Amino acid sequence: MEISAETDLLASGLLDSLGIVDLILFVEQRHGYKVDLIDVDPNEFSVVEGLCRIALSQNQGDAR
Amino acid sequence: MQCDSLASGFFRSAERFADRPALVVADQRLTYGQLAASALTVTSTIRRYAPDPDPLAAVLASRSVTAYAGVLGILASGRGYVPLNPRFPVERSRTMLRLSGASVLVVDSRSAPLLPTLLPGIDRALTIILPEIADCSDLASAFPRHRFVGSKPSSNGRDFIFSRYSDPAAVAYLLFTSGTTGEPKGVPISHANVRSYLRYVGARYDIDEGDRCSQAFELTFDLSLHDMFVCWERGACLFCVPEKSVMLPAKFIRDHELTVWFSVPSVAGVMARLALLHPHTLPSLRYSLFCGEPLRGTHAELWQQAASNSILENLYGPTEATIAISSYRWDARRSSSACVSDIVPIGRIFDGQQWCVVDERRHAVQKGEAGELWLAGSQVTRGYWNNPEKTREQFVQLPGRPGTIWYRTGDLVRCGADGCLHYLGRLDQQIKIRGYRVEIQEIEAVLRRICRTDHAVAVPYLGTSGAPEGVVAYVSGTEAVDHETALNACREVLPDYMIPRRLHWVAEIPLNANGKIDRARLTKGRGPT
Repeated sequence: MEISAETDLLASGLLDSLGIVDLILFVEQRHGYKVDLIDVDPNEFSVVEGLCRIALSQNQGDAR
Repeated sequence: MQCDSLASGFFRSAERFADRPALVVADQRLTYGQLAASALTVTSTIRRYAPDPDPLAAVLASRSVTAYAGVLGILASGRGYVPLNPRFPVERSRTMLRLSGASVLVVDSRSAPLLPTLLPGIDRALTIILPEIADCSDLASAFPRHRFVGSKPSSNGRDFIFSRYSDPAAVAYLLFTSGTTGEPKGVPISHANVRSYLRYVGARYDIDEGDRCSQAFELTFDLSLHDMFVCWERGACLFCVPEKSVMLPAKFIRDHELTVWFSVPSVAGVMARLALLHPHTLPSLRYSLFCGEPLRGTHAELWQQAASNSILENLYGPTEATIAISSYRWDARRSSSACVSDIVPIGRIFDGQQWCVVDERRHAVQKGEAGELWLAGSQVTRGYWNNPEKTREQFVQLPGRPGTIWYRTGDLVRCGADGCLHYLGRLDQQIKIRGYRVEIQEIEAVLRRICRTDHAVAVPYLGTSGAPEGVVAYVSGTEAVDHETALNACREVLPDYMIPRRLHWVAEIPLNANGKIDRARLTKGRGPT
């Protein structure tokens, strides 16, 4: 299966919810900051593009 | 003698709270009046097209209005319901449909595309009820044995009486759990069993029409009955949690200001791992309930801090004893020290139910000693569906105490000095994956068939929290099938949580000195991938 920035990793069955957790923890570890998902729609963080957007925006928020 | 039927509480609420919200599914909101009307439409369709008094009807639907209206409509027709999960492999659903003997099948529009693969191999003539009949002409000509009908309200209004009362022994629902022989086994629960449960928990939890309750469990999981019927009996509103939000529900709980949350403990584990359980972030919750697998003390503590206004309880119970049969209320000051190996106690068995802890010789153990938990009482079913052999094995009498039939849970427990039960593990190879009951032997039986060998072993794969997250499997004595083909064949019959994360081909399955499979040696040095 080809994965693009718009692929929904949950809906496509590529990852289950625990897989998504591992992916988020991996992103946090790689970038050295916490991604807070408390008010984030799962439809956003289950897509690669969306997860990147959340991670980047929160990093900028922290920098300010 | 008759008893209140399972759905009677919902229909009483529908009369009392007709204009109050009953159900929210995605962007659809239904009042009690609207949900009752949808349910009775299913009922009148069943009565018109399938007048034979068969005991059961199946519902193939998930997280849709039709799913809930189907359950209620089937019950109102006087039948018990058999939930089928559209996410499960079609072959598994077909087996359940066949074993149940149901002759009516209610299908929601999203699951209708599964019918062309589900129906071949079903010999019994079915009446299949769909929300939209318009799209069924192809199906009707491809499967002339079955009758396809659209769910329609009765033309002359309310021309029937729905079943408010029931024979207490009649089946209210039939669920299938993983079976050791390679085929799921049916657990029938009677109206009397489930009424007994609802009476007890109705008094235990103070739910009213202002409450907003979660519905996170699939209908094939008996905890969904607690969600639906505890909520509806009290006139509260049920919020169907979208699949994607089930394991990470913070936003959903906050957006909808839910007051009752009920899920498997894995949800608290996932939230804890992602550090989402900040203090006071879930202030709307009044009750936080967990059931289905061991709850970790550290996770309970974090959840309690996040849902600081809620009463947190750990429930326990096998499907055979109707939804749950014991409960432990978390106490922020004392409970951490009550945990054994960070596992929250399962608490006390509900008043009115019977229990005992026995050793291998089936004699009651001394207080404080570990043994198998046996259950009896009004919540315990009489046996498996059309399976006298398995029933004789699991439903037994105690030596010297004839008369009472006990269900052997296979769960190892110890009763503490305070009277609380502690769950210590399983006596057999059953595991729980995200609350789903999995018999390791069922996976092994499937692998033996697919790989055409006598040697297949599955072992739990433990995640970072120490809880099983899946299984890995080892196969020997065959080269007949390759890895991908074998896994694809598994996907056709097993639900996702039972599919091995990895299949290892090994020269031989190692045995220990007693000739038993040496699982430790088998898994040594091998990860899940």
